[in-house]
Amino acid sequence: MTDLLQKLLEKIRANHPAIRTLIVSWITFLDSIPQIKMINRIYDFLPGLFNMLCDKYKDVNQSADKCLKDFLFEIEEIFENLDKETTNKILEIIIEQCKTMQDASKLMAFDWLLKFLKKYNSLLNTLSFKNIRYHNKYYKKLVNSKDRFSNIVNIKRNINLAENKIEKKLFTQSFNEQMGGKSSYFNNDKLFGADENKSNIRDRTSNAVLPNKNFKNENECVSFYNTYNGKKQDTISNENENENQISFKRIENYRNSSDTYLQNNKILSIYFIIYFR
Amino acid sequence: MIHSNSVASNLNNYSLEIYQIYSKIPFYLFPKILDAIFFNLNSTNNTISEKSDECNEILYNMIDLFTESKDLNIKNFENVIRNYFDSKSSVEKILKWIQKLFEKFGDEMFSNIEIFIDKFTILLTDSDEKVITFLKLNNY
Repeated sequence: MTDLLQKLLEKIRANHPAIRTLIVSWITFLDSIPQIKMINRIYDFLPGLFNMLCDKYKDVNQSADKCLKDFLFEIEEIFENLDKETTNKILEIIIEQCKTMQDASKLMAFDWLLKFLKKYNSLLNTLSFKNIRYHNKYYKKLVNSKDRFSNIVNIKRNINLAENKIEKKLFTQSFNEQMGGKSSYFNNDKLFGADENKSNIRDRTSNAVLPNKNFKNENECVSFYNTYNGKKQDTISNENENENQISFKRIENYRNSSDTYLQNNKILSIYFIIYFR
Repeated sequence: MIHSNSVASNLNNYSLEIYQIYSKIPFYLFPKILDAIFFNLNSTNNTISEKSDECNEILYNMIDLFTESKDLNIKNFENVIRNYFDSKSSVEKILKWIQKLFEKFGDEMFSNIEIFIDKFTILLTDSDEKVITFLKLNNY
C-alpha cells in the first residue's frame, strides 16, 4: 500500500490531463475503501490536488474539486478524532494555498480554512463552556461542603450543649456528693461537711476525715469544726432552707472561694450557678 | 478526605480535558492565518475577499476566548499587523486588530510602539472616512 501511495504521489505532479484524472480517480477510490485511512495521508496529496484546480482541462479541475470537497466533508465529520500532526500539516498547506496567485486554489483553500477556523472556534467555545461548567460544579461542591460544614458545626454545637448539660448534671451530682449530700457547709472559705450518715466530718479538699465525732445534726458539726479550727463560725443559716436544696448563697461562697480545690472548680461552679438559675 | 480527593480527581480530569482540547489547536499557525487573511482582504475577486473577511471575523472573535498570550505568540501577530499596517489595504480592519490585541494583551503588544505613531498620525489626516470615524470613535 505504501508503494502504491508513493507511486500516486510521484504521478500527481504530472502535467498530462489523462494522468491527472487517473490519479484523482485512484485517490477517490482508495478513500472509498474503509480499511484504508486515506485521510491520514491527505496532506501528501493536498498540494497536488489544489494545483489541479487550476488545470485548464475541465475534467481535471472538476474531479480535483469534487475530490477536495469530499475530503473536506470527511475531515469535518472526523475532525475531533484527527491527530494534531495531521490537522496541523493540512492547515499549513491550506495557508500556503491561500497565498497563491490562483483564484481557484484560493477559493477552495478559504473554504477549508473557514471550516477549520469554525472547528477551532467551536473547540474554544467548548473549552470556555467547560470552564464555566467546571467552576459552577466546583462552586456547587464548595456550597455543599459549606452546608456540610455548617451541619457539622450545628451538630458539634448540639453535642457541646448536650455535653454541657451532662457535665452540669455530673457536676451537680459530684458537687452534691462532695458536699456530702444535704449536709454540706461552707465556712471561712474552707469546705467541710458531714457524711451522709452525719457520723463524720470530712475535709472536702482531701476528703480526709476530720477528728472523729458523731454529730446529732449539721449545726453541731459546723460549730465543732469552727471550734476545732479556732475560727469564727460562719453565719450561714440554713434553718429555713429546704434540706434538699443547696442555697445559692453557699454556691456564691463556693464560687468566690480562694481555696485551691474551689479555685480549680470555679468555672464549674459558675456553670452550676447558671444551670440552676 | 473523600471529598477533597474527589475535588482533586475532578481537577485532574478537568486539566486533562483542557489539555486535550488545547493540544488540538495549532496556535502557532494563527498569525500565519491572519497573514493569509490580510493578504486576500482586498482581493479583486469578490468571493475571495468575502471569504477572507469571514475568516477574519471568526479569528478576530476567537481572540476573545484566549486568556493567555503565550500560546498565541503575540509578537508574531504584531509582525503581521505591522506588515499590513504600512500598506494601504484594509486599514480599518487592521486598526480593529490593533485595538483588540491591545485590549487583551496590552503588556506584550508593541514594545516599540513608536513605529506605529507615524502611521497613526498619517491615518488621522487620511481621507478615508471609515478610518477617520474609527479613529475618532476609539479616541486615537
